[in-house]
Amino acid sequence: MGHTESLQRALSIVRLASRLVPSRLRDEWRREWEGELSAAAQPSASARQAAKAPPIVRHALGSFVDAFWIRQRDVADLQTIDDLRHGFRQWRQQAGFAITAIGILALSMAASVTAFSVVSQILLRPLPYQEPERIVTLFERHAATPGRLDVAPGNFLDWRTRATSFQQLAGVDPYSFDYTGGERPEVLKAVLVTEGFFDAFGIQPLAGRLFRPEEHTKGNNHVVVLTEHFWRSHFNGDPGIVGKSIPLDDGPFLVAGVVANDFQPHFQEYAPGDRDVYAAKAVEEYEPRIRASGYWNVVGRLKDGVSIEHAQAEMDAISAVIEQENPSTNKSVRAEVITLREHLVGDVRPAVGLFGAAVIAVLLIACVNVTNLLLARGSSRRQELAVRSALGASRSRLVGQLLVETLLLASTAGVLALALAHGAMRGLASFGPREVMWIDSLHVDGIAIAFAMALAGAVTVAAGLMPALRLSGVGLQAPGHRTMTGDRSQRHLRSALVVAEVAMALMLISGTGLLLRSFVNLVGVDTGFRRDNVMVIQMFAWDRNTGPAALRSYLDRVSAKVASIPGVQQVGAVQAMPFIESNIDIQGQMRLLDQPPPKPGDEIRASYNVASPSYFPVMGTRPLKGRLLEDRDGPNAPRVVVISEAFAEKYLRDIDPIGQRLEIRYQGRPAQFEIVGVVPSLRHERLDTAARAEVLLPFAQAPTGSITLVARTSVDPATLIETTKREIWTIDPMQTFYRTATLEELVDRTLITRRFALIVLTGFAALALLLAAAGLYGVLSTIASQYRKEIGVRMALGAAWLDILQLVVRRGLVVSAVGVAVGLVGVLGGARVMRRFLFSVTPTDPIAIGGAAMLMLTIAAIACYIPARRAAGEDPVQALRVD
Amino acid sequence: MRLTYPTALVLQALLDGHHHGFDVMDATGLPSGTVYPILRRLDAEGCVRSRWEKEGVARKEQRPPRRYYELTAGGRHLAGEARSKAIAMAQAGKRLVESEG
Repeated sequence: MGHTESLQRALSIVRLASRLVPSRLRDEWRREWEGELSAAAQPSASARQAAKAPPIVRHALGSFVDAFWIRQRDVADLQTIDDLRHGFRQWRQQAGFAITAIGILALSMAASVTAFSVVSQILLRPLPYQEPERIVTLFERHAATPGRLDVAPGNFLDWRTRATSFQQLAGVDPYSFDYTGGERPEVLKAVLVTEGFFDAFGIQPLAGRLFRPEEHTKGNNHVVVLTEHFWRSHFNGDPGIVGKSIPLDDGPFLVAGVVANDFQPHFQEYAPGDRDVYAAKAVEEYEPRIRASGYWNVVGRLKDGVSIEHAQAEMDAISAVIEQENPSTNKSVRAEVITLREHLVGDVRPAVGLFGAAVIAVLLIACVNVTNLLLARGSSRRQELAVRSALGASRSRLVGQLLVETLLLASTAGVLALALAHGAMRGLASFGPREVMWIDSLHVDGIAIAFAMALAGAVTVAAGLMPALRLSGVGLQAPGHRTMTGDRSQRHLRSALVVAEVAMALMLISGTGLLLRSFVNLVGVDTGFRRDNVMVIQMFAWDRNTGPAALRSYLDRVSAKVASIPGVQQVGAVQAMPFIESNIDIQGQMRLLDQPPPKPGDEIRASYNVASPSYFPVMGTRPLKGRLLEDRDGPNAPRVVVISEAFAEKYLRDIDPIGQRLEIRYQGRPAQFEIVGVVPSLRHERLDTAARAEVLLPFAQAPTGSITLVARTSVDPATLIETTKREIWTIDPMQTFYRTATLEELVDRTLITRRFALIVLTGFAALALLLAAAGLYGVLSTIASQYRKEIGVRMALGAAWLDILQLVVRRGLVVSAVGVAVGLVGVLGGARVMRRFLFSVTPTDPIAIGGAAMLMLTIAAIACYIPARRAAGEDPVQALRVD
Repeated sequence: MRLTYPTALVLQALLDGHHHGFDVMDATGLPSGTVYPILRRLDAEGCVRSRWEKEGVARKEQRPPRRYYELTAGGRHLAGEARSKAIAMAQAGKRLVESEG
């Protein structure tokens, strides 16, 4: 071997070894070796050296040891940086893999970060009050009606007198003021609060002062505390307004102070923060007698050292005494004490639980998918890992390297996830259900960022550890060589992962299917009215129309005016308008005069309502029996009512209601009415609450100032609202409008939360389905390619295209079917949790669950078909050539 | 630092004026895979410093420049220590041989 030739060989060995040297040291390292080797190969080297020196090729081999030594030393401090660099290089080489993995992780992590933020910023948000754990709210519970109910003033007053557990106990009475200090008369959303309301929260005013005890007495109670947002929007935040008076309703009210925006007790609001003023409440003479209709909220502060359980026990005892004293109104009525936090966010908790479960499922599916991707890619990296391990890389070193690569993916996904979560939270803040406290303040905060980082670490371990352990186990004995057992166990592992994926995806799809079925059922509920093309205008007309005649005349004039607006076809009026937010359910005691008297406790307690004759045609209501209210039912005509179907079924079962005489305690004294018709029950609050047992009196016979105008229009009703207000102002320029909307809007509002839940869950389910399909596809592609030889042999021996197709598809379908079976077990296990989110659907609904299973299997079949077709379409000769 | 026998040999070679890696190999008879890691370690410990030979010299001989190593003060101290250890060991070895003989 000539000098030049051996030098060339030696130099190429050094070049090869240099790959082991960390790149920042590599050039210098190589130059040193090249310098030495070139010098040693010089013909001018001394004869002694030339004779004694071993061939320089042998010297050059030592460079491997040197290079490896340098690397080992270097890794101590630079191992991670180097791994990162290696990771980046890996990405560049396999951009498709990296993009897929990052995309999958980013989506699922974004969902997790968002769900986490909802929990941390809404459910666990610190309340800005003194010792907030001592603040409680009290509701009524009735044996007959599910859920917490607002409190009747009479009951509250008794509780306040008798209970000893509370330092303060205050009532909150819903109210609205007409404010005439601005350009146009406007309605202020208000509550009247009894003594101790602000003390129960322990808050300080932003400006001025809060109410004094004497201001809660009749004649001294024309005092208000403004909310910060009203103060800023109407008085530019001028502290000078404190101590001055503002015109509310019919007189001046003193502005005592201002409370900050973060005071959000969430009482008597349609949406959090929907409050303009608090006014001092003086209990009216008649209020202690109101026990049948609950419309107040109650807040209290527990005395120091008193537990909520103790307070509840005391309230149970007090409720029992009140029941004995008032058997007709308070049968099975109990007081329920809950924490303020429960009142504020308790309703959200189950939904967050549901979403949390969905998020975790999607995250797990994503991890499984990335694990699968890493395993699949691992097969192509075995050679590299075998070389590294042959050169002395320890197993822990390889595991570390592989984990750092996964961490790189997860961290990038984490950054992307934060951006996506930011978008999602902005979306939630703008379009999420406004009923949810603080939803408008959701944002990516430091905790969310920390969570995303922790999540990236967790995902790295969850998705990366198993592949790292498996791949790092490849020894030198099999450089680039597949062992059949290794392949098989890996295939089994990957199949098991796909089973898990399919199972979780199925659970999500079933859940979504159930919600979808509920939603469809809900939208299809017969509300008893036609909701299209109806304009709704709620107003209060008491102030300037005193007495029945004035009210009748006012409604007649207003109705005629509105009816004259082009586009308006017919105008009616009603007192309690279905689906409007402030729909107060006024209940009264009634007696059927032609029937035997009921047993004590079984007396009729029904809602009564007042409607003009044209209310029915505007709402599209037809009589089921008898007739509707008509114009002839005037103030001097015989007193008549129509009843709802629910009333008839509840109290007049098996009796023809028409002609029955009904005694109603109306405006303090009993009056007799004749039932002339039965109308379909109108749903009032929500589609998923029962229809009211309702009695409707003619407006002319029972005029009221609480009027909701309804108008059927030939054009989009929303476009007529402003015109209508202007027309009404021509009759009374001081008239304010409490709520204006279309009927469609009002009904839709009650569906927002469900629709929102459905959309979110559908998104998760679609993602899960996609990920599961991708996982299945990936595994089957690998299986198909590993079976190429077998397929080739089979085809060479005459197997038909279809046989091969079946062979591969069957494997995929078996895996999917096992996944579906496991998922079904999960679905049945989760039935109890789902129940509360459903409407007219059982949690084991065969249509929803069967449909989900079919969908999953169909998608699985498609995912299997593509690799199967590719395998079956292959030339057997090509397939047999595979190594 | 750990003073192994090969390390002592390398230190002695440097003390004797062998400055290039391959010259150290020649002087000690150690293979390149042993000498270089020792040089790297001595470098990292501050016992030797390395320099590149002048471009001109290399160009004259029509080859790339070589790196050469020289002992620092600490390295010379270590070399002395190695030397006295080697002497002590040699004497101990001599006694061992004599007592057996």
